[in-house]
Amino acid sequence: MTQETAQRDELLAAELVGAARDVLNVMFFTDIMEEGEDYNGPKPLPIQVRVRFSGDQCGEFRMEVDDLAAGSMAGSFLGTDPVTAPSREEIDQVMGELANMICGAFLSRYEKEGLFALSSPEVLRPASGELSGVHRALELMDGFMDLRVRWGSVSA
Amino acid sequence: MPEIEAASREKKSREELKAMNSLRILIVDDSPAMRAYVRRTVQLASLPVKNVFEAGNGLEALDIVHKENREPNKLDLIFADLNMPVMNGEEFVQKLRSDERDARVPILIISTDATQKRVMRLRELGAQGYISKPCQPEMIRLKVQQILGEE
Repeated sequence: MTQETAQRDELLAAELVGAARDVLNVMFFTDIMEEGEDYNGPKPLPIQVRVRFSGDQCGEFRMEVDDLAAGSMAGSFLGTDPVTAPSREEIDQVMGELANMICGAFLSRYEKEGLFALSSPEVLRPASGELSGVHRALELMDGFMDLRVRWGSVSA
Repeated sequence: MPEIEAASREKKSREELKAMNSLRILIVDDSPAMRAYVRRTVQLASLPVKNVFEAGNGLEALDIVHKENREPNKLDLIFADLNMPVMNGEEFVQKLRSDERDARVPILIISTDATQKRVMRLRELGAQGYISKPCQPEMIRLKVQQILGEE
């Protein structure tokens, strides 16, 4: 990787974290405690969401998250009673929406003048395969999250 | 735009709306989680909502609009996402605005796509408001009040 590419990826990773922080703060009542290349948590994270984007830019966004963080964020988003845990179906739906929002917020920052479309989020349990590209590992208030973006055509 | 001028002439005051206790809204989003979020926000905002209809894409939404809107403008507000399968939000706005019966139902877009091009395009198509996600419940409440002429 050239120095120029590394610098560009660093800037994009910072935008990715900024987009994720906005979404998590505003709609999920949680925050990013630490961010970096890796996190001190279980691997691999059990829930993976894929969103493909097309338009002026095309590529794929992947979000991975652990069960604890997913359950906590789903409960906050849906406003469920703290005693009643959201169902697995509700958690998957909320994680799909979370991935959609982070991807959209990131692309809106990255491509202010462009147009893009997002695919419906695809939730996979367990997570399947890794994606090379811009990457950040996050430690949240209640668990862990991993974000990756890759530009260019993506596998089906 | 003539549609917007006509819509603003029909705006109802907060008192009128509360007295009627009859807001009928439609939420169009392929994400059940987001539909639940909007529904809860509208309920928590103490808006006088009588009916909340939900659709998973633009085509389903058009069916509901045509069914519920037999007398012109019976629906008071439509919340719509942009990225949806089958029929996306832009197409939905376009089709809705091309039908005279439904031309005045206000549409509030809630989407992650906040690029300038998209927002301008939606305005041209006839959407009354645009909220980019992430958005706080307060923002949704304020936009609803603005569009319905409460403030």
